[in-house]
Amino acid sequence: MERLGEAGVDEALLIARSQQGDTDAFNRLVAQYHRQVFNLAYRMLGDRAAAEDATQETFLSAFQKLGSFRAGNFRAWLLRIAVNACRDYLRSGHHRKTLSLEGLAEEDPTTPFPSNDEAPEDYALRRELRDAIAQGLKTLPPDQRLAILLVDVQGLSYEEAAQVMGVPMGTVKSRLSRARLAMRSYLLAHKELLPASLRFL
Amino acid sequence: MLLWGQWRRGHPRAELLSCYLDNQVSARERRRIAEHLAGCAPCREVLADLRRVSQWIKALPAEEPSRPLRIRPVPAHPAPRLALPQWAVPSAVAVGLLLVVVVATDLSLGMQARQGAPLPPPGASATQPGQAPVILAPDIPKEAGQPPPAPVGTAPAPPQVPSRPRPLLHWVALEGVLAGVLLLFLALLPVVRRRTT
Ligand SMILES: [Zn+2]
Repeated sequence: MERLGEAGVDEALLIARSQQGDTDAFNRLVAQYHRQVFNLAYRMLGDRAAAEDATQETFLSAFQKLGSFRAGNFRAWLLRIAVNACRDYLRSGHHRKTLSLEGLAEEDPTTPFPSNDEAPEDYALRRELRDAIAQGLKTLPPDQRLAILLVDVQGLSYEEAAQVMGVPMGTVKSRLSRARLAMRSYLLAHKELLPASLRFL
Repeated sequence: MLLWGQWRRGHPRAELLSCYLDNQVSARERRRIAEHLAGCAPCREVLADLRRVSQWIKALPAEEPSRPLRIRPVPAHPAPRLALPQWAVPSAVAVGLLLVVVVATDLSLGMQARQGAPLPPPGASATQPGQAPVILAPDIPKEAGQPPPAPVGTAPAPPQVPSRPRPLLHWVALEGVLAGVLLLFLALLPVVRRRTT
């Protein structure tokens, strides 16, 4: 929806070429969406290696299914494939080892947590908040987690999120609000994880 | 949107506030919520918390994939996982050929030995295993029976009778070693080739 104009035309061209088997064209689409698909998979699965697998599976599957893609929202179509890849992964039972608490510790400590109104020296605190949020996301039921990832993390509209999740808009709204409330409850229940300056109430 | 389901005891439900936050409510409902918020501190607090949660989640840093991803063109005939069927046929053919050559050589040498023909020095053939079939092939018709009338290379000198059985055994042993080396080479060839591709 937000991708119109030049970029949209380019993308339509790349999709058309990819549908004719042009792997170079498809690889440009891969480069464009790789990060987004990987991040969705990473937050859904909570594990880098699992996310890499699911991401690769997503693009392979997308390339094979490209013939069935009709004009429309390519990003939503692709993310839907990614969601299915993650669901398959979670169903397969591999996730038992990936959903341990260790995953958080592997995050790169040099990545700063972006914020508008915090002093840069609060970096350690910001990392605490980031870890608390990542941990809270993991406690959500997968459907709610997906809703909040699509809308708040990936920046999709409710309409796009509904397409990706394959549910009506009303379901997106209720899952998203339940996810936000659950995150709020989680953070309230784990106040000790939050920096003092950011605590609720 | 059905208003009665989104309000409870005069307060908007959290789901409605979450939609309000994202501007996903009708203009009429938006006005009604704004009016309510102006006079209700608890609802303002819930809304502020929801906004904070949403903003913090939005600010989660993106993770970088560890390596770029590229889809390679799919080969017309995908390589089979199991290597055995791929090289089994050529190897079997090679072993068969080798056996033919070995047997033919044995027969030829046996004949020559029995007929008292002089044996070539063992080293001549053993150092050039690759040429063995080419060299031996023209000799095969000779064993059919009649010795050639006056071949240029054949020495007319009489054979040395006591040394007859030993060279034969020597040759059979050499051929065995040669066959073993060739078999090993043939068996390892596909492995080496797979590593390099
Ligand atoms: Zn209220």
